[in-house]
Order: sequence, then structure tokens, then C-alpha cells
Amino acid sequence: MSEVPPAPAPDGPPRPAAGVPAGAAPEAAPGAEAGRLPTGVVAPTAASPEVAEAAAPPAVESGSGSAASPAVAEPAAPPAPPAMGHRRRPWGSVSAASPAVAEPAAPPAVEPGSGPGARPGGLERRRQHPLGPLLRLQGVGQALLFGVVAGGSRGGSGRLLSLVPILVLAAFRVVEWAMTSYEVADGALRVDSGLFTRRRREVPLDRVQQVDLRRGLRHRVFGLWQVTVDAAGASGGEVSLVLSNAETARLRAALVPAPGPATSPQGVVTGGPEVAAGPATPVAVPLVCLRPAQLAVAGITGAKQLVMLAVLGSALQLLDDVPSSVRDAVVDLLPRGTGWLIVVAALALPAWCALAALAQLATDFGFTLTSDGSVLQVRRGFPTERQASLALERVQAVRVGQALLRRPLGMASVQVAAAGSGSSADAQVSRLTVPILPLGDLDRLLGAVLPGAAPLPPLVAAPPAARRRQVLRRAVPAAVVAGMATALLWPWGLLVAALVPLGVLVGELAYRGLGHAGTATHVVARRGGLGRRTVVVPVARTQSARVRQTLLQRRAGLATLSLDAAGRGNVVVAVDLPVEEAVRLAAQAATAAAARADERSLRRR
Amino acid sequence: MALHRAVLVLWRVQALVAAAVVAVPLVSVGALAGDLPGALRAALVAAAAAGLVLAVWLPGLVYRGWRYRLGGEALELRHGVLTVRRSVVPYFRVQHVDLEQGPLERALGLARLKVHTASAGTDASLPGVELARAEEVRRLVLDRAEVGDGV
Repeated sequence: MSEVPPAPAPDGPPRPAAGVPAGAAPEAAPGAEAGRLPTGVVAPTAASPEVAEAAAPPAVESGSGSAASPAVAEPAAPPAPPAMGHRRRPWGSVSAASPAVAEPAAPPAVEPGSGPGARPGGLERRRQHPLGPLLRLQGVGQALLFGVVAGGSRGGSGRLLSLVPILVLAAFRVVEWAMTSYEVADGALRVDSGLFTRRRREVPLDRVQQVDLRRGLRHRVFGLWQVTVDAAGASGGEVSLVLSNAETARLRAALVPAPGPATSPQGVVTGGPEVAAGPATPVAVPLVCLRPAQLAVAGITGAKQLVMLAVLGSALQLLDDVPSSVRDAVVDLLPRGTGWLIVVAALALPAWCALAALAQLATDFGFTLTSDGSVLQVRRGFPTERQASLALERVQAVRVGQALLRRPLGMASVQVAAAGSGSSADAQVSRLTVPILPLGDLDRLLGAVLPGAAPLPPLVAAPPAARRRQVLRRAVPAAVVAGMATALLWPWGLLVAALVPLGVLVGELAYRGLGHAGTATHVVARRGGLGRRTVVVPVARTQSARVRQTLLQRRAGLATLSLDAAGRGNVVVAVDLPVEEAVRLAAQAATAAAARADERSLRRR
Repeated sequence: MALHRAVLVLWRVQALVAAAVVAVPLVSVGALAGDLPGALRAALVAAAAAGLVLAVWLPGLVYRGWRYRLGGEALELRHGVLTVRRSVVPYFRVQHVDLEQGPLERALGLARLKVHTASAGTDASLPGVELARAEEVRRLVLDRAEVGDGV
């Protein structure tokens, strides 16, 4: 665990506009780092004039030139050799991250780096870790298979031939690696890639929503992380890079806003774990640490159970498709007698629970959520470890879920949602999820994530008209179905009539689940019959508010209130509150004075 | 404030075109297929006629249900016939404003105004306001979106 990149070092405000004293520190980084990094990271040499010319965007160049201290831009690194074999790249040149490690990976002509001096809060242009592209497993299986199929039947030469697809794939990956580079400059993360079609993706730093780190076993072995940067707004706005430990820490420090002013430049000099763990690191307070036993409970009581039930159900359906002769043959093989049946039944449930618990343990082993006052950080999982950072000021809503099985245990799960993007529907919202939490600890977590939200205000129950509506909207369809079934399948259809009291019961429970509260700073809404979900939304972050009334709701004087938070799918809904209340809350949320202040501070950053 | 009355013309034309797409085949089937029972033929014609009547009548209801207001801090909308929807969009949350005009709208001097915030859930579009008025609303919204943040 010692190699885990620590919380972002206080890197000074990562904005280009950062003050000189704070910002000067990262500038010193490239040079100073050379002697320090244990992995033999070679410092990028200073840009020779003509290379600096070649760096296309003049903004970069002028940025580095104007950057406070010329002393840093030039001399920190050894004098660059005349750029002899130096190909010019469309967008600036690249410094190899760590040639020492690159050796075994058959590096392509690694040219002496020439990162234009980093500007304040920036990171000079670099490549990914050379092993990164080679460690990507996708495609390897196909290549192997293809090779075996193509060369398998030809004896000795065929065995050699079967290696060809793998080599081709590796060559592709190496070229891809060589052509991909990233930098943080001018207040943006830029990633250039592509051999023939050069592509530059630029993510403004103030649009970075979340930085996720992930490493599987193979990444662990080489001390690498897969870094995913999630940006709001743009579609498919994700950036994914594979970097070494030190690089990861540096990039994250540059991307995630560090709290307060940097205390000592020393802490900033390298992203090396040992140094950044020093006194300059902001104090990260653990908010949630989950023990394996708690995670096991989470797995057993969680939603994964339902998924597994569904899988089992579909598996049983598949049984129907098996030809009856085969099925009978298999059944004949099975041991007979009720004794076996009891044994199987007795074993099934524990086995089931154990599987669920194991699944949860794999994803969330060692779950820790920490906060240093401005950034939330989660670390979880084994063997694949994940880390996610989320700026507190980006939090749009907190959802507290109480699944049916968790309510008697006094347990809940908590989801912190921020605005995000991404191509898949799932990635539209950045989330941190605490898989399980005793209700007693909820207030502490809420208070840390949404200052002023805890303790939750007492919820106002929905009006009696809502009870009628909740019951009728379940009982009436049930009655219709029952009626049709009875008419079609007399008399067995009558059994379906049992749906009606069930609908009434569920409706009653759903009504009891409804509740809402609005304070000056937050709106809280709860719903759900068996499992309950409570949403807390800071009104200062709502983008707009909507009140919707269907015909039936109008007759009952009820309405549905939606508060739109930034990002897709971040809509908070309160169902069946009195219409006046809904309109009042909508107006309050949309025009809160606090919201203005919040917005201004966000824009000013 | 209500929408501009000319939007009624726009909506009725659009609805009539849509109704005609359905009604013309219905009626022609009724007229051409010789061996249809009389009752069915009457039903076809009645359905077509009902579609045309709806096309004229519904836009009136929608129009009467539409209200918007440029409040002190937020744009407020209210619309809907069966389901009534209200939206409140604070000016300072507005990211951008779209102004759209179809060919028919250009002929009528109308425009559609769409207001976007950082949330995909925001529902704020104003159909059928006079072009000059739409420009005015847009300027107003964007002016107020800028107030006080010095960006």
C-alpha cells in the first residue's frame, strides 16, 4: 500500500492564474525531480529554441516564457543537445516519461525530451508510461487465437507464424503510445494522439469533475495506474491514461483543486509518495472505513441479490428449452430422495450469501472515504484497486438508499452524485457510492459532504390525498388485470384477484414512504414503499425547477416537484406534495440568494 | 404573458397537415373500396372528420394553457392541457439561448426560444413569440445571466 499515490499534494491552485509564489513550485518540479525519483524518471531537458518554436500553439510557448522565472524555464535541466535527430511534431514535442522502464518494452526511438518548461500549475508534455498500452488486454485474446488458428497446423514454422499477430498488435500499441502525449497547460488538460489523424482533446481544468484511478493486478506489478479524467458537458469527455505512480500523483495534483494555499514548496516538488505524504499534505479525515464484515453484510442485503435471483430465474427458464430426453437422463444421474433435497436446499442459501458477500468484497475491499475539506477521495477494491476523487463543490445531490433487507438492520447506502459526462448512460453522472453505512453515521457523512445538511430536518408526510392516489394507482391496474384474467380463465383467473389487496398494501407502504422537507439551504425528499430512497439536494446548486401536475394530481391538489442539478440524469424528484408547497419550493430553489453566491464563486475560480 | 396569437395559425396548420396525412388515406379507402359495409365506411369518414376537428380545436387549448413570465430573478413558464407543467429557470443559470425559426414561422414573424442550463433536465422552450419579442427576451435573459459575475 505504500506505493499508492497519496492525496494530491498542495500543488498551489492549479489554475494558470495562480499566484507566483505558489505557482512557482511546480515549475521547479521537472528539474528538481531528476535526482529524486527512484524509478529513474529522466527529467525533460529544457527546450532548445527551435523546438520551442515547433511547439505549435503559441499560447504554450508564451505561457512558459512569461512564466514568472526565466531561471526555471532554462537552466534547471542540463543544456539540451542540439536537436539533431529531432522530428518535429505537429503539436509540440514529447518527453518520455521513464526510459529506464521503457527498455524492456522495445521503445520506439525515444527522443530526448524537450518539454516546454511547465507553466505555473501546469505539467510539461509527457507520454504515458510505456508499459501502459502493452498492458491493455483487449485484443490480445483475439490475436492469440488468430495466431494459433493460422499457424497451428504447420509444425515448427507454424509456431513462429502464430506469433505474428501478437507482434503486430504490440507494434500497433507501441506506435499508439509513441504518438500519445499529454500536458497540463493554459488551464487545460491536453491529450494529443493519433498517427495519421492527429487529434487533440482539451479539457478545461475547471470542467474536470472527477479523477478516477484504477489498477488491476498487472498494473500493480509494474506500479502503474489507469487514470480516467471525467469532464462535464462534452459528450464522451473522458480521457484515459496509464501512468506510473509518481506521474499519477502529479497529474492528479494538477487536476484536482488543492485546498487552500500551498504551505511549503517542498511538498510540491515531486509527486513521489514519500514526499507528498510529508507534513505539507492536507489533513485527510477518514469519513467512512468499512470492515470486511460490513461489506459482507452489504453484499448479502444489497441489490446484487436481486440480480442474482434474476440470473437464476432465467437459468431455470433455459432448462425448459433442454430436450426432455437429455433432461431425463440428467435427472436420472442425480441422487434421489428427500434427504438430498434437504441438503441441497440447506446449502443453497449460505452458498448464495457467500457469493454475494464475495462479490461485494472484491469491488469494495478496504473501502475508505476521506475528505480533506475540499476533495472527497475513495479507495476500494481488491485485486483491482480503484481510487476516485471528487471535488466537494461539485456535489449535486446525495442519495441515501435503504433496501428492504437493510432497514431492519439500520443500514443504508449513500451515493454522492456530481455532474459528469461520458458516452455510456451510466457515466453521465459521476458518483461515489458508500455501499453500506450504519444510519448512526449518516449525519457525520452528510455534514462533511454537504455542509449544513445534517442533521436532516424532520420530513413532512404527504397529505391524505396522496394516500388515495398511491393506493389507487396500484390497486386499479391490479383490479383491471384481475378482471381480465377472471373473464378469460374462469375460475382460476380468480387467483389473480389476490393482486388487488397486494396493490393496496404496496400503495399504503408507498404513501408512508413519501416525505419531504425544505430548509433554507437544502431540499430533502423521500420515497419508496419497501426500500426507501432519500435525496438531499443543495438548493444552491439547482439549475432549474419544475412542477408537474397530471389531471388526477390536479384534482387532488398534488404535484410532482423536480429539481434539475447539473449533468444528465441528476434530477431530484419529490412526488405528490401539495401543489402550493411544490411551487414554493421550486421558486425558492430557483432564486435562492445562496445560489447566486455559489454560482459566482464557481465562476470566479 | 401569453404567446403571440399567430402561433395558433402555425399550430393549426401543422396539426392539419398531420391530420391530413392520416385522414386522406382513410377517406380514400372508404371511397375506393367498393364492397365495404356502410357502417364501416361511415366510421372511416367520421374518424377523418374527428381528426380534422381535433387539429383545429387542440391548438386552442394548448394556446390558452400557455403562460410565461420574466420574473425578477427567473424565467417562469406554465403550460399543458391535461398535464400542467411549470418551470422556473433562474437567469444566472442560463448557459445559452437558442432562437429558431422554421419556414412557416418566418412567414408569420414568429420564433422559438430555447433556454439551456447545465442540467439536461431543464425544460424551458418558448414556442411562438414574435421575433422582436423573442430577441428582447433573449437579450434580457442573457443580460441578467451576466449580472454580477464579471466574467
